[in-house]
Amino acid sequence: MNVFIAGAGRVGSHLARLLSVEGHDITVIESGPERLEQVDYALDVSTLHGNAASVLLLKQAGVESADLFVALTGHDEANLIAAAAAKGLGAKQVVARVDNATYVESGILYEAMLGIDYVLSPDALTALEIANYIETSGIIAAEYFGRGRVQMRQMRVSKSPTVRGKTLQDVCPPGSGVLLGIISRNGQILIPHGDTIVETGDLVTLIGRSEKMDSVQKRFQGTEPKARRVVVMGGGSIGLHLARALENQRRSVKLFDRNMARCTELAAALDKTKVVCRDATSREALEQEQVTDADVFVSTTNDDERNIMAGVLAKEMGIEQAIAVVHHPDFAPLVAKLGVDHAVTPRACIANRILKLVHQRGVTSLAVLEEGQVEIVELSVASDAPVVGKRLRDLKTQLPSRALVATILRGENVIVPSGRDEIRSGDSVVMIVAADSLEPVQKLFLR
Amino acid sequence: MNYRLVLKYLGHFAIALGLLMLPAAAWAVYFREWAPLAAFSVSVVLSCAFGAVLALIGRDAPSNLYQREALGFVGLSWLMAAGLGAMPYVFAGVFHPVDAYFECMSGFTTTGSSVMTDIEGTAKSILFWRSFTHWLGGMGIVVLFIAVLPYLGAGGKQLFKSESPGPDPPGLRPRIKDTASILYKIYLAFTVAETVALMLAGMTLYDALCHTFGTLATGGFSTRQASIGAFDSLAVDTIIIFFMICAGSNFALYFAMLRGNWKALWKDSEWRVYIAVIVVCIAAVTLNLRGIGGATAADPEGAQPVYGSAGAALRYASFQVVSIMTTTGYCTADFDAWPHFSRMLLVVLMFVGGCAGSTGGGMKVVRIIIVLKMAYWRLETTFRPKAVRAVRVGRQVVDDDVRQTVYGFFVLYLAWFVGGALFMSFLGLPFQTAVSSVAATLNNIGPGLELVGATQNYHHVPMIGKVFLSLCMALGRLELFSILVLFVPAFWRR
Repeated sequence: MNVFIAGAGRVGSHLARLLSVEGHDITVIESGPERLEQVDYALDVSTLHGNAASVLLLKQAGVESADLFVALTGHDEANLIAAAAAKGLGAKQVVARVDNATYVESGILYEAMLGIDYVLSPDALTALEIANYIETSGIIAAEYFGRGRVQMRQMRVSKSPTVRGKTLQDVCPPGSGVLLGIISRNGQILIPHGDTIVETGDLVTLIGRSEKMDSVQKRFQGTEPKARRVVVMGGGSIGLHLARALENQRRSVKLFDRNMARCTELAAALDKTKVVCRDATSREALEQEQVTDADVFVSTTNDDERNIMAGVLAKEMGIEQAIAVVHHPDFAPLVAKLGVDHAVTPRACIANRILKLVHQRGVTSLAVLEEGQVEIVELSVASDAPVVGKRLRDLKTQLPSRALVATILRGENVIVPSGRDEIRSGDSVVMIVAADSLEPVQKLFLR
Repeated sequence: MNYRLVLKYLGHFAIALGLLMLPAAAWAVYFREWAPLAAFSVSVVLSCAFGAVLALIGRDAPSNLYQREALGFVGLSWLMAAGLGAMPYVFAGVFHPVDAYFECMSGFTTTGSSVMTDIEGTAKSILFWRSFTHWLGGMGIVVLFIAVLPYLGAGGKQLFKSESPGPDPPGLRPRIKDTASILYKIYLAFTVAETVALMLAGMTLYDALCHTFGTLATGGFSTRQASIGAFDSLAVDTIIIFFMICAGSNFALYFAMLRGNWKALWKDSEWRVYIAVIVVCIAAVTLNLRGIGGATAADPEGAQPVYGSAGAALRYASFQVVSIMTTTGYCTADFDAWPHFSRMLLVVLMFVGGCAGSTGGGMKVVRIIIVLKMAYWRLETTFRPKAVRAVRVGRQVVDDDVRQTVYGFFVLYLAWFVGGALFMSFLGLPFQTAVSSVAATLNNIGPGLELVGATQNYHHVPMIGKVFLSLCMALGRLELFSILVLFVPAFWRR
């Protein structure tokens, strides 16, 4: 696919890296020469210096042949103009990032008026992901596919004794209808086999029949009561979006912010949330506001260190679960070590959303995990594909080592396969694939 | 420095190089030359075995290819390629190992300086290999490597930049692998076109291929002692002049033309300067050969024009100017017997070279433009100290970083040339020979003046001098930095 990315900031260069590893043709447009040089040095993409909102520049860059144009600069107006211009020039799909709350609110209207396919806000997406995490009590990501018959859930292994120290064979035996696809341990990805041992704190991804999911999940996590009381630290745009989302889920929310003027705005904008003008990183404040027995603590400021330490403190004070927004991607995997339950990275949220748009012939990206290192994809097997008629066992040598067939959808049947199952033409397969193995996998299944 | 990764890639590279000797072995079968065939077979096996050992040592190296590894790999791969490629010469008994290294480096770097004294008496398959090394080195052996190997990713870009000529190699396509394979496709298309043209002009397939390799890579090895002059055909001269000019142009412009931008060549200001220099110099040499300022060593008065007819003067002048300017080094005349002015002009042209992104050597036209503009700008600053000007090439403003690099390159290049000339005269070569031997190898031309002139040869240069000149060729082809860093101790430390 031919993809143009305007803006080589955190999100832009992250996305460029993910897509170039997958083998797409990427052009990055950026006005800052240093950032551009950085990208040019580190990635196999072509770079173009200039302002992406310039129609002349876009024309010269050949945007009319783009399959996807993504405007991710730090300037909302420039992003909207650039995306609209790219659409006008003939780009197939265009995406604009906006941060300013005023623009976020009218996002859908902009989409209609300017012809932009998606107006996305990293803050709103982050808030949505946190709200989902709280809603599904510990499931980090959940996706349905195969018309709802197959589900993928990603969750962190809690202290539940049923799995600790046991091999995978014991926990998810073949034939249980659920397969453990990926284990992420301290930021490292493992594609497990029968005798891999599951440890507390691992992030596990389960794929399998929807109806079996709940019972299997219980083995990985003790049953936890639904969260009712949520404390949000930081009244920035993530905090505001999150408080709104949680209000809609009928939870009781306390929102802490240090800035009085901002608190007044927040109080006006939010209906049921209690806004407190105090620093939530102080013991005294948490005690006096009587939130030490709350269910979830979410820190959403722009300062990673404060978010992480506030989470640690909240856990220490007795709050059941702590979630921290971590902007710096290298910090995110460390958070679990410090006792904070979950870290959410805004740039990963928006990058994952955009990755899902990168559809290809016969491939649907269902979920993007671990900062885009791993994807879950659904492929419709072509009739002349090299894998047709072969058993999975025999495919072992051809399939990249970081790719796994998780389920086969054949007509009305859902097969969680073993080595004896064969692949037929017309099947849909759900696969777990490392980003750099996607290209060879496509060649095998699609031709 | 990730040594093991560099070893692994060098290993793959050595295997690839071994396999690339097979076409020459095929010619050995065709010409029934059994001794060279044995030499090629042994060389293929040894290259592949050597490569396999290196690849084995580095087999689970971490795959991070950064600028350092890229530079190290490119520099070492060229030094190694000349060593491996020299094996057939040694095993076939054609050369002493040092001579073989010199000849092979001269081939890969598309220089065309030779130590071969009896070309017609040498096995044809050996001569084919000699010309084929030109072809491989012309567009770049590492670039070929990038085009073929699937796994280099962003690291491939660093490799590409380390090997491609010119101050700022362009990416034609977003993915570097695609860029490399497009360049090779264009190169192949030219190869086919020239081979057919030369066969139509009466050459055999074998001769046509060898001379096509020599032309398009701006190399200069011929299958005849008298170079292109041996064919004495106006058609051959014209075809080769045309393709030398093509090879000295920026290949990115051909890509632009393929994409429908037909005026790309003409609109490129570097190309216009390149053509203008060629035209002006042809005119100057033609007039000089017809007796205007025509003093030669043999005829100090300049009374007799070198060529009787204006047509002949134009023909030989055109061929020689284009051959030297594009750094090919083919000859149709003994330009060493030409008037002083023509000889001096040819030496100056050696340093100009082809366009950036061409297969030519030298400093490249665009660098000369930038340096001259910077110098003029400095001059203007002395009487208008507050004037602010941008240095432009065409419409493109040259940014400060590129200016600094070009300036550094210019100084280093000339410093190396001066030091090299001193060194060669220390080895006992006369003035003109010492100066022109370094100029001709550093700029990847081939023949120089006097004892290394068009009708002469490099075989009489002392051993140590041959090693030094081999180094000059590699420096010139890789534009100094990729080779020079290998001699900086800090480069190898952690």
